[in-house]
Amino acid sequence: MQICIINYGMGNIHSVYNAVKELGYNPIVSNKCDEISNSDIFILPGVGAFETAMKSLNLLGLTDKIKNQVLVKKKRILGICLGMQLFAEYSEEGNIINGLSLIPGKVLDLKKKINLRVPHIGWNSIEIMQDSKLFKNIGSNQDFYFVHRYFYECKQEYKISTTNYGLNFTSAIQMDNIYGVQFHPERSHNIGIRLLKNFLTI
Amino acid sequence: MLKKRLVACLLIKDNLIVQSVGFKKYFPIGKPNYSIEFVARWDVDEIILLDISKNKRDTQKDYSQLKLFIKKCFVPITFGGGVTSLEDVHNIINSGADRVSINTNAYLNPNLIRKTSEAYGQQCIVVSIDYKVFGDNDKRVFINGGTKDTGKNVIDWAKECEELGAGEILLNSINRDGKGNGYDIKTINEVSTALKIPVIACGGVGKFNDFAEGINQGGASAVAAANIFHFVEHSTIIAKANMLKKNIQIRLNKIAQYKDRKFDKYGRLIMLDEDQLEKADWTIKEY
Repeated sequence: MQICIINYGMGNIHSVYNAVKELGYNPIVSNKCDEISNSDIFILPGVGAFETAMKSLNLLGLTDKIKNQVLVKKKRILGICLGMQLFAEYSEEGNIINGLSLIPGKVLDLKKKINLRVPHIGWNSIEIMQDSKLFKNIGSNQDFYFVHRYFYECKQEYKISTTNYGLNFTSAIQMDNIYGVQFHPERSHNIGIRLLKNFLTI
Repeated sequence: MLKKRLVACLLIKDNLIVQSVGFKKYFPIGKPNYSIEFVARWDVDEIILLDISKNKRDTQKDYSQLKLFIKKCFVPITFGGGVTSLEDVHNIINSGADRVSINTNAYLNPNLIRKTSEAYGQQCIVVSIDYKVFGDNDKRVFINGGTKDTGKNVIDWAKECEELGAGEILLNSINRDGKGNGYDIKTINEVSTALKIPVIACGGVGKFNDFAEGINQGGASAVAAANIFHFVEHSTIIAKANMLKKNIQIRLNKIAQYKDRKFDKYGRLIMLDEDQLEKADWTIKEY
């Protein structure tokens, strides 16, 4: 089983890599099409702005590659933070640019919706909305580390957990083999590492 | 619910963790990876690593050490020290840090805040502000490791940082650095009231009770300290147990026991008695 952390030039690659290594796996970090084709499981990390990230994926020729691997070949993928937001059709962040369009939805600005301090930074609890293998041995009200300004708006059926910060936003998402989390499991201590383990052992 | 954060602010000087007093004296503590692993394992919510080595600005910037320091760290890491360009930001994030902290160079080149925010998102950039209070209300921003007076008012500068795209402010009182007589609550409150982005209070913690004041009276979203974590056993646990006692919502890890802990009047932990020790569940949970 080959795990591939997709490297598109921006993002928390190293911390995700360390966390997966800690679990005893040997992931590759790559943006090469052949290595991606030969991998079985993908993690799409992300720290950064939506527009810059999509431009980078487009430039590397990874947009169609990822869509093919995930939507046609049905390989498992986990998007983390911005990585999850890239699954949407578009984002309000920066100039409007198409996302990967893996799970129907759009990315909106928290700042336009709520009156609290934005960005949303810190440990916040999740409420599990639907059973998912991602949450094996993880209950509602567990705290995960968030650091973001935008959030994924999508149909209820794709939300597997929500988190409250002025409103209930999507904190984890799933559609078949496609998983995404708004928080950073690689930075959420033991509970986050457990979630990563759950994803890798589905 | 969003929890308040307990932050360990660790200073690195020439690849050693040091303790700072008034930005002038530095005492060596030990190797960074040990300190980082210790605070990360024992429940601190975030680590801010500041490299204050003098010569680093002249030499080739090398973040390979950073990579090693944080290899076993699974809580968020913010790194700062000598960040002058977007390339530095890129290298720091690529070394495994989650956010960058910029101080002097943000002041000298405010465009760096905007550029970082645009490229990495607002959440990625912390602007660190060192300030000194003169008299009652004259609060000025200092740069170059607290040595140069800019004459700029701290609240004005914090507001500008917010407009430029900073995601958070790390507010550090030079007067109180290393003194251990508590946070500068008044200024923390003024800055956090003036801003819509979160503020991390830093500088002055000497007692474990001080953390709660920074949040309850100061209005900070996170409370940071450095020195208090170094020499006290179970320091992070005591800090959180004290915060909990003041009804602050914080992240509680099942590994550490908080609820039944008792403290003396200085906020020091009173040892568990035999009976409690026997009942306590000390097992470290598997992933």
